[in-house]
Amino acid sequence: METATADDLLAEIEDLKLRLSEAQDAIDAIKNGSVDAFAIRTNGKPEVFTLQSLDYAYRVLIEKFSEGALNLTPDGLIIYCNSYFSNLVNIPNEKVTGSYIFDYISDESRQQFREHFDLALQGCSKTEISLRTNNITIPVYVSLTNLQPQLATVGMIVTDLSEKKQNEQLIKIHAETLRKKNVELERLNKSLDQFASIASHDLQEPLRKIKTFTALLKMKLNTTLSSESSELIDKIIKSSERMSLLIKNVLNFSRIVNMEKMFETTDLNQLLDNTLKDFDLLILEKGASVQIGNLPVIEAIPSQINQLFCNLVGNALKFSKLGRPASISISSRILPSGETENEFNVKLNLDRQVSYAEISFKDDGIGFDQQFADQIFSIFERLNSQEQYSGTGIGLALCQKIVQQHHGGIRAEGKENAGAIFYVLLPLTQSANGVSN
Amino acid sequence: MKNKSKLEGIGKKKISLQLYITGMSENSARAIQNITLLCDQYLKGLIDLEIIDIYKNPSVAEEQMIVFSPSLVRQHPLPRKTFIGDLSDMREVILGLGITLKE
Repeated sequence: METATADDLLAEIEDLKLRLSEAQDAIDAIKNGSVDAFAIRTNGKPEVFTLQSLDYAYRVLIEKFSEGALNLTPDGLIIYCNSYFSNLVNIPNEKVTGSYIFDYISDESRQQFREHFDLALQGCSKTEISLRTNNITIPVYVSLTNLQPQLATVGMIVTDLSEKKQNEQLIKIHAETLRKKNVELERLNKSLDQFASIASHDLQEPLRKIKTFTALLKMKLNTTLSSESSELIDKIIKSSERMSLLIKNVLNFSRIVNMEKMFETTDLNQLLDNTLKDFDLLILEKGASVQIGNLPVIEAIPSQINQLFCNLVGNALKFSKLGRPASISISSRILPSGETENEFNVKLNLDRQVSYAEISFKDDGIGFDQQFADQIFSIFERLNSQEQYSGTGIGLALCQKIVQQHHGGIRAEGKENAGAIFYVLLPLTQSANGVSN
Repeated sequence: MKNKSKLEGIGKKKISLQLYITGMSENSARAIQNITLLCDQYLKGLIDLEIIDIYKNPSVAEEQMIVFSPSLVRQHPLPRKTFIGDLSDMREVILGLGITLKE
């Protein structure tokens, strides 16, 4: 019996040893964090208790979220708030939890927030409001979601809009500054144009006198004048004529800017016919041949288009090669809306919604280097010497002004000694540009 | 006394309470609701309450010898007292805090 008892005891000790080591292992496992949960029967029901809880990742996510996250009872009591929110309102987390959300809403937003909160109790709701804590107002965007039936609470996400609002404010300020500068610029431009107009007008007068009196002087001294003196006097007259032309062109230029825009339906064929008639003599003199295609009818200011054609045809004749009859061809095509943006027209800022007439003036004259294609439209810009080719350097600048007045564009293609092509793009109608005639 | 109140057993200083909770758990939510209701309805202005999420700062739990959540601790007046659970038995809490309601 005794031996049996001793054996029993030994067996029991072994069993207890085993169970103890199992329990020790379990405790060690819990301690070193390798256990998630254990299942135990309590109150006659099996239940699972979590240790390093499975919601750890969610908790960290919500806690570290860079938006405010809160959990509210239907009364508005804050039972959870993450660090972002307590930092935003600058009140310790321990004080925010257990307080009411309504205490953080600005007076102006309270009513609105109430309505949205009530809405959220039925489902969800989003709105822009402002918070007010520590005498600071914070614009925020809030999103409220009823978490029922899982939880008897309302979840609230708060996005700080301070930076966005500041940026909006900055943009507003910049826009206002820009607008003011624009107005100032417009005013300056106007006065500059007026100045040009007045100055040119007043400059013509003394110049006319110089011309008249020089001519008179020459007549009076006619017989006694040496040929050298006569030549000098001729130079004076020629120079004053050139200056007169220059002033006249400047005046024209400023007139185009100041002119009231009166667009009317204009047959470009007719205008071109008139222009060519004016050049009849020169064409004959130069032995030039001119081919004309059919041009469209567009809404335009006829006097300005006339000037435009004059300058372009005049240039084509003027810059023809010496000792060779010039050949000029003028043609046109329609660029329907949406098809205006080719690689060449991209710089002209055309409106994609508008159809344009493209009129090209092609000559076989002296041309120009393509690298100067933009420069030639600048006022007083000349590529060729005064001795070889007369001119004031205003002609093409004037052309550009005219097409701009018509909401169109002009560009040039050229090759040195191998001719030039000028493309004029004019909208078929002006109404699309918000301009009524 | 300034607070010629319906309350007795309080010194001149406010009662200092700390509720230790764990995030958004149901018991934590209930404990918060119960303690705020108690403070707002019966002890308005007499309690200095802090609600501390021990998930946010586990070291506080250790320092304050908090083992269970939720736990309500009365730090002042001494002696320190601890109540465990969701505080749904308000009468017990009031008694435990050493407050007698004079009605």
